[in-house]
Amino acid sequence: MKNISCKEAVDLILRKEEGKISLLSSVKLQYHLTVCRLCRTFLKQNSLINRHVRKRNQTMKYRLSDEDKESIIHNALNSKP
Amino acid sequence: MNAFHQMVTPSYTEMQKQFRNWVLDYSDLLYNHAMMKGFEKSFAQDLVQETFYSAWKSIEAFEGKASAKTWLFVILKNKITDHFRKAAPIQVPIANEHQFFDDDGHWEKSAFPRELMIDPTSESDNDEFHRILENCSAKLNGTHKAVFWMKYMDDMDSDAICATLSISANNYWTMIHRAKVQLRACLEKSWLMIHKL
Repeated sequence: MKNISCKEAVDLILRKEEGKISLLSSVKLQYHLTVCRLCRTFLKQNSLINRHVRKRNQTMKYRLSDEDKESIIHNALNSKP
Repeated sequence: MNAFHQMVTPSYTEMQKQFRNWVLDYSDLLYNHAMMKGFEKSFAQDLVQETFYSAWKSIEAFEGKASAKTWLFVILKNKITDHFRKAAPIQVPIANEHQFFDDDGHWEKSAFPRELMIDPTSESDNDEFHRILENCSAKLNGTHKAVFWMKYMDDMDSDAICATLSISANNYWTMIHRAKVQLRACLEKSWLMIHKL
């Protein structure tokens, strides 16, 4: 079996994340990862990014002031329903 | 109108009261969502204002089948999608891939992925990483940003994203690939600069 390039491996890692990968590609990727330390590191970093993006989404960081909320209500109500 | 109908149809004042509660309960969540997608403060505020403006205009169409929160988020996300569509005609930008891979598709030496050594139990490590993540994702170009946030923030799959942005599956995979590789390189550079590994 011909080994795939790192660029192809990155592509397959991202497809696998969505479950959109064929069995053959999956085997090719596994093989590439066993022989390529750089792509193993990429895989690790990729999971780390995904985890942090998800975690970050759940944090409540930004809020509107009370005046902003009142002005939202005022502006909307001044248009006819 | 019969007496029964009058009883179940909310009065104008009741609708206003209901609407007011929605703004008080959900505007922070909507605003936070828009800010997390990397929009400017004033633009994020405009998006929230427009969301509630649309919600009030169609408040009588709201049947309560979904929660008000879900309904408001659908309106907001549609507005964001419209913005992405209008802001940049969707096309695959010509990024210089050679920054990351050579002609044979192997990692360029300058782009070799390196271990980051982030301690997942350390709160300061996590906070710092989030801050860097924010800076780096803001640097993605418009279309890459759109694809990236739809996938990782809205949990949309490739089919839904392609349909929303009217792009082909091939374009999608190219864009998500480039977005990820660029983001990763930026994160690594920023992280290693601080930690001087």
